[in-house]
Amino acid sequence: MKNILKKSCCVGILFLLLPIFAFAQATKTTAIKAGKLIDTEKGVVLQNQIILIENNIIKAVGPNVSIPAGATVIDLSNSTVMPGFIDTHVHQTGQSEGNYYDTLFRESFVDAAVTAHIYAKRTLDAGFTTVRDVGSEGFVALALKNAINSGKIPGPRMQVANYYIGSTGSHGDIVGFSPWLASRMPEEMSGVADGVDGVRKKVRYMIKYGADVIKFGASAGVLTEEASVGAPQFTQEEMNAIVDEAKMHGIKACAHAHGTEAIKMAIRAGVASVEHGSFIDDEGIRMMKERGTFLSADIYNDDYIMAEFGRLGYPQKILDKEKLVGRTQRENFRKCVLAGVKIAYGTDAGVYPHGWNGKQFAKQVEWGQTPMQAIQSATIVSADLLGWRDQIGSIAVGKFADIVAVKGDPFAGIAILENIGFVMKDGVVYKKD
Amino acid sequence: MRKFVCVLMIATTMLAPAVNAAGAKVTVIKAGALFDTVKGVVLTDQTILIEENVIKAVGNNVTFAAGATVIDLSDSFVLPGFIDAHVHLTNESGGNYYDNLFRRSFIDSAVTAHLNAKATLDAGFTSVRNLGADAFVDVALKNAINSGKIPGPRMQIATFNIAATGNSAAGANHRDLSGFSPWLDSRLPEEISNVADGPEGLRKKVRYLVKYGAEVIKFRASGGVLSEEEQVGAPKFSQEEMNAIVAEARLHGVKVAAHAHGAESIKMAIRAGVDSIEHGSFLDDEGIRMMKERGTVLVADIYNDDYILAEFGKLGYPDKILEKERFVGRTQRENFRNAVRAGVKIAYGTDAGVYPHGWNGKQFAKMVEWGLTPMEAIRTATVGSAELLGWTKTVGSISIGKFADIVAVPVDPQKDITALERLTFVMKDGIVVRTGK
Repeated sequence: MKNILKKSCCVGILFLLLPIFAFAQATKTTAIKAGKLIDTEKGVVLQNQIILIENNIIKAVGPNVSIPAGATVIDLSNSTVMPGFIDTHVHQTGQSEGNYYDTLFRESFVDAAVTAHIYAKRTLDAGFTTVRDVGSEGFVALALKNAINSGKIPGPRMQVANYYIGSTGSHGDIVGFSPWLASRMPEEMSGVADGVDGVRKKVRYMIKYGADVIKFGASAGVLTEEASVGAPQFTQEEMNAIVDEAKMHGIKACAHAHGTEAIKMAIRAGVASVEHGSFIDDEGIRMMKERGTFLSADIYNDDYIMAEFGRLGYPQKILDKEKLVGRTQRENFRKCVLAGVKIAYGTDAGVYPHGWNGKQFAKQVEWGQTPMQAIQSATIVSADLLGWRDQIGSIAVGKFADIVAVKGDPFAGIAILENIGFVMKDGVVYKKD
Repeated sequence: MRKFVCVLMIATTMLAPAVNAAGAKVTVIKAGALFDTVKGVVLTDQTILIEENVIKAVGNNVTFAAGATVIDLSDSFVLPGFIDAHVHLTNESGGNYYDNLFRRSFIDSAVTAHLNAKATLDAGFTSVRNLGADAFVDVALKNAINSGKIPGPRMQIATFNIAATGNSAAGANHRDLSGFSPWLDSRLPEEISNVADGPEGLRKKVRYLVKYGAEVIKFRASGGVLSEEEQVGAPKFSQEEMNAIVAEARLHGVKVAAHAHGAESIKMAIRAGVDSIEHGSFLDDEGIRMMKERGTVLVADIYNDDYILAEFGKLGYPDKILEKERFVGRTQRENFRNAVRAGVKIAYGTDAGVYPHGWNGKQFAKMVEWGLTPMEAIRTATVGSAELLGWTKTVGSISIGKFADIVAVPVDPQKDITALERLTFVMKDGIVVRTGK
């Protein structure tokens, strides 16, 4: 190459150099000196690593990586460095902080759209560089994702489900109110669908308008007024149709499922993940293991709901349902951990305040995981669930430079992950204490 | 020495909360020069005493208790926060014509509207009149600002900009876009729209908008520039329709603003009794006389022509729209000058959203170029707009009892009016929003 250049005439060199010069201008090189680096793929901690990043991509990781001249060096040699966290169960566009009736009947998805950026930023600042949004109204999560990806506002990478698909009278519907109460939203702009044909059409509609993942309600839920918390809310045929239709489009499905039977129906239908999983039994656990179904269990937020939701005017019947779920869900989470079910990290953020996503690490350790397992659940395991293992979830060559760090040792006290001091997403530093 | 005292006071306030005996937070601003926008004079070495969010005293002998937070602007020119009487905070300039019309929706605008609100506030515009938004996004934005969730200016909002069939602004309503297929429809419910016809239909539309939060009514008396209907200036409502809109708004104690470019549509709107004429491009001598007689305010967006002609071609806007802008541009400025000379009341309105939010201050220089003195231009954006909004008791001047909405700049704007494009201090509601460049 050098010889060729030497032989070229001056004009030729100029032409060759122009694009090289432009390339040099465009490439931003960053080097991170990591005192400790958690290798989430192998589950080990490495010492004194250097991460070399070009623009938004990790180009090299190791103890002897040479740092090119002109690189921006970020010294995290006193920190524990990890891949950015992934929360596989959030509702990024809203937060339960207002009165029950105000939220239901005085506000709309337009209010949610105006304030959604606040929650996206808090999530990113907490070190969660990727989220899976498993339910929003009026396509607000999609608009939020587009605004983040176009660089207009800071926020995590997002996979969005658009609406939560649920049957008439389900957790995805509005239950407990007058049959004369109606919405002015166009009829198709909702997550409610029934019948095999109806749910297939609904899946197509969600995907047409940008769904990256399909979320449906296999069972009743907690924070809505239907009587049951765990009863199945779709037939086996309906669940099968949802998952099958999603697969046709190359899209994964996840199921909201609290009840024992609903969980098993969803697993049989072939969902990628069971959300909540509160009343899972031994058979359900065995089925999840066999099929590689992920569990995404929001075991932190019970404390918050019990402390706050009465004050917000939620009806007693909802609080009673939460009491029914809370501790049992955690005990069953432990059984799943002990049995070796794949555990993704999903917190239902939005039910509790966005930005507190890291509080679930301590709960997962309290209920059976090692700190390393909890960290892996929020990184490489969740990346696997999202189908993004080749892009995120570990600090590895070729992946996006989504990197977080804390000054301290999460293995000495996992709660340190609730206060992340350094956040980089896509090669850009968003937070540095 | 003065710097030392100032530092000492700030240090004191850090140790003890800056509250008075009643528990109110006390802030003191030392103003080197202060624009008295009520009298149109500049006062020197003034002290402004603020309790919580309200101005409690102004003068050169104001005393205050130790422990107050002192903000030293003794090297600066201090003015009341500005008021832009014509913005669209939920619109964003830029973006391809078709993408904006058919790929995006009011939800995309809602998600990024906070950026526009912040840019406006940072530019020293602590109040705005929002004259048209889709699907009540302005209501949500105003509520989010007023509840303290996001920073932004005080907002007086119109919700939808009422238009006759065939006269919607581009993007306002897929069901009623001029220039497109009659089969193009919107999934928005029919009443969640800006379109109404006939005196009865318009009365109902005014009631509907007021019901859902309109604080001012805006209607399109004439055609517009940035949409594909053929005429920019032709009247688009009958006299009876305009009369009905204004009469209904009066019932609710709500003021009315009319978008009007053409000479005849302007006069029809004035006759109907509107409070302000927006744009006023082809305003003639008779119109000027009528405005003077009735005290109708002119809100002319004379900055943005330069921007539209430079940028909108690149964004794929059809030639016919650009030709309409060329037709309006210079004439609007000349007629603005005619109105100024005749003594028509002028408020400051820029149509921000057509050009980038936060550039609101660029119109000061245009107004000075086209006939106002710097002090007059400043008064349009303060007392002038405050009067139009019906907010003279709360904003528009640094006076006792008004909200502490205060801005400052190190350069004398009477010597260089463009200094107002580069404010170094913005306070809204007693809270410092921005200091430095």
